[in-house]
Amino acid sequence: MIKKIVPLFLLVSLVACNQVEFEPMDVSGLLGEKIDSTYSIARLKKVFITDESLFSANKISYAALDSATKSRIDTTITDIVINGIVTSTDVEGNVYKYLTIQEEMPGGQAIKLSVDVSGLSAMFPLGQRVSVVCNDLYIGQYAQSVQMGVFYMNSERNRIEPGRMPKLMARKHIIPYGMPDPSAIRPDTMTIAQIRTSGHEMINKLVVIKNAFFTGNGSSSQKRPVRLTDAELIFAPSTNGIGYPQSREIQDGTGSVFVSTSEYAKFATKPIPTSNHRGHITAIVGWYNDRDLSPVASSIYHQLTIRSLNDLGKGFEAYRQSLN
Amino acid sequence: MYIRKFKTYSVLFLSLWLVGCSNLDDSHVKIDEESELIFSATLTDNLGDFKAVNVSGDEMWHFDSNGYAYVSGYVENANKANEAWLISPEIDLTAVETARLTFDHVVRYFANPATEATVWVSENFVDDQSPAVAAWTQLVTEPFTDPGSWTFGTSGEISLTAFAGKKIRIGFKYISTTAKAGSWELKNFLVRKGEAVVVERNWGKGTEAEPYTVAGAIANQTGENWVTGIIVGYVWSGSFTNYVFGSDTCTQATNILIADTVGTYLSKTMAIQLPAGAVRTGINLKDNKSLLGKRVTLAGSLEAYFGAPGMRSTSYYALENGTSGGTKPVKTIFSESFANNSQGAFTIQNVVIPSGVNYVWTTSPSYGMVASAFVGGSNKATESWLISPEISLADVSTVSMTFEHALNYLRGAKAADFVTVWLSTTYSSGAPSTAAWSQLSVPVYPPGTNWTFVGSGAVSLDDFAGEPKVRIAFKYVSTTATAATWEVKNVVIK
Repeated sequence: MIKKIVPLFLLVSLVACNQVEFEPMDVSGLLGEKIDSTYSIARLKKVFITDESLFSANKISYAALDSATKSRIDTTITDIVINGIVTSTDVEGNVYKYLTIQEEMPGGQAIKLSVDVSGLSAMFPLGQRVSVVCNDLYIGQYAQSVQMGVFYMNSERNRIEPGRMPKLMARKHIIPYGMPDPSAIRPDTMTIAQIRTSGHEMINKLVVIKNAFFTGNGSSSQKRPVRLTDAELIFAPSTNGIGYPQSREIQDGTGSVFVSTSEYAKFATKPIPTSNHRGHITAIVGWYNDRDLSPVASSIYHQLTIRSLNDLGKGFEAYRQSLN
Repeated sequence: MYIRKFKTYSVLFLSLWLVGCSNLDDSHVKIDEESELIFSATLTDNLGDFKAVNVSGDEMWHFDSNGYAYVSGYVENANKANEAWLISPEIDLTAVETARLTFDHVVRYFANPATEATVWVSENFVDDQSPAVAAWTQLVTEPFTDPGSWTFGTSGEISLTAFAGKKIRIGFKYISTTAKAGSWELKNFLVRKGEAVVVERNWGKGTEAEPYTVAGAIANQTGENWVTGIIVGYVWSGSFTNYVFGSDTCTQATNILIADTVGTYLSKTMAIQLPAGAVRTGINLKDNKSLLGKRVTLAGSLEAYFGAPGMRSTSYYALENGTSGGTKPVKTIFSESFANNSQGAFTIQNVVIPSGVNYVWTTSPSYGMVASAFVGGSNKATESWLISPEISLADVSTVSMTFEHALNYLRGAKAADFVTVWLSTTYSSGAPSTAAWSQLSVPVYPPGTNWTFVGSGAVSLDDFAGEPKVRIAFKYVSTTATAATWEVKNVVIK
């Protein structure tokens, strides 16, 4: 083994030390070009989500609309295009086979794009601007949260869902342009109370909550806070093969909401910060309601997804340092 | 070897390919062979194949439309005696070497969940038979505690490995008495392969000698108790979330936060109310900033404070350096108000009762238990005993009883000749004469001429401290010349 590793190391070293003497390639040429938006995400949802079930998938096509809807929209706009900047990253494993993109304009909304590719951030890294040609994709509710993808009949659970689009389809419909610029991402600063009382226009958006802390509670099956055992005071204990994300309650003095983490996230087994750590938490706003046609007031359906432990920002420095 | 590896990798590849192509949830589904399901029943839609059977009493386990199995002997404002079983269908453990049981449940208002809400296994229970006929082995569980709300909690993992290789039935045995009838809600019954991971809990007992830990106190919000913890901070205003883990800037003297460990979670801490006086003076962080991080043992009422499990009316503290202050509470051993037409668990024995008199002692809406032998316009000669349930004085060295009573129509007679209080260490049931009784000295009797309640004063029971089983009796005697009316309520033994 050593015999193989040593030459490889030397080769890598030589390559690393080699001065580049050719002109750098204009990488913008490798990327696509922006296609101007013809729809906002809000309008896309309003026009094409025609089924308000907890789970649904509606084709983004004028032909799929009823005549009353068609009479109220401009069907001469043939290309249905939205634009946004990628706010999700799967490098830490807590985001899996989806992108969230957020419009860069006042009042802009966000949407989840479901793509059947692992390591999606290699194709669409954080801060990548994309144009999405939505024609013939499907948009619908997954546990009452909007996603865009393909038609999928979940026969195991006997329901229609927005499913993951294959990689080739994603390449065709999601067109990156320009260099990724994570610094261009502008999360909304909100309190937990504001998030809880906001409508679905906040779902999938990136937010910053200030003065937030982990309480040490998890979530009951009724989506209410319950005290965790000492062994459960990590982001996501194993679910023994069941595979659902784990909820950990945070509060900021205005309300309570859950941070939701996959047991397959790289930080799943890290301890959640003790309550003496209070600070900024950046997260993607999610919503999961797979059973209550009329949401129950005492249940907390919002789920926040942190993309990495770096989303625990100002105020959590000592916590992050304690993990090293 | 290589063929085996090839097979392994092929299976792995196929598995990954299948998973990769599936369009399931965002969650990553993974099958852990160690935790394969053996049997499950949610009990959220019906009882399924579970059997509800009673050995005694009428209150049975049943499906509650809110989505769980439910039993309670508290019916129409009264406690009823029951032994009710909820028994699973047969669970086949013949092909496993290890197994564990979990369920979600909530127990409330039991006198003692350790004996009244228990889980058992039988290898020979047969449907349509009484559980009393079968052989049962009790399962070792974590202590079931009243969480102070109806929020479901997990049972923790309960090992079934001792029954691996067998076919078993699992029974949930509910006991209630006329003195106390708890409620038990149950759902999400799961039996899986794998050895149970048992969480060791040493929560204490809530006594001065063995105070609750903070975790124990949070799980047992049940009135006057002792708790010990480390002072970690305070709530500066209004809401539990306005907490500070520290003391440097503390300007708030009315509460402290305690926890089992330093550097913990808000949900693992408990707010302690510091009433004005010795307790506030002694341990508030505004004036005693150096107490941060110090262990304190406290007595008070475990109840919600700042909307979370806490302690109010804190009456006593003892710091780790030996400093203490306040007044040690005396724990209530027994109480019975007789309010709202309730006789509690007391029984009535009529020793002398003439024909035409149906009762002497009776309940009342607001006067407690009432004894009278003035019937049909004349005094009757009677003797009637109101006898308490069994009370344990085993763990006390000094003990006394108080009650309130009113007496009227005594018409100049001596109260102690007609209304007296007795104690027996041997009485179990039936006629009072079957046991030996000692008369207790009642310091204060009412004048016998009005309906005004007076306190009895402290009736000393010190001579009986340490006795594991005593019964108290209120003895009413009347003659054709004197038949007073005696009202008794709010009996408390401390």
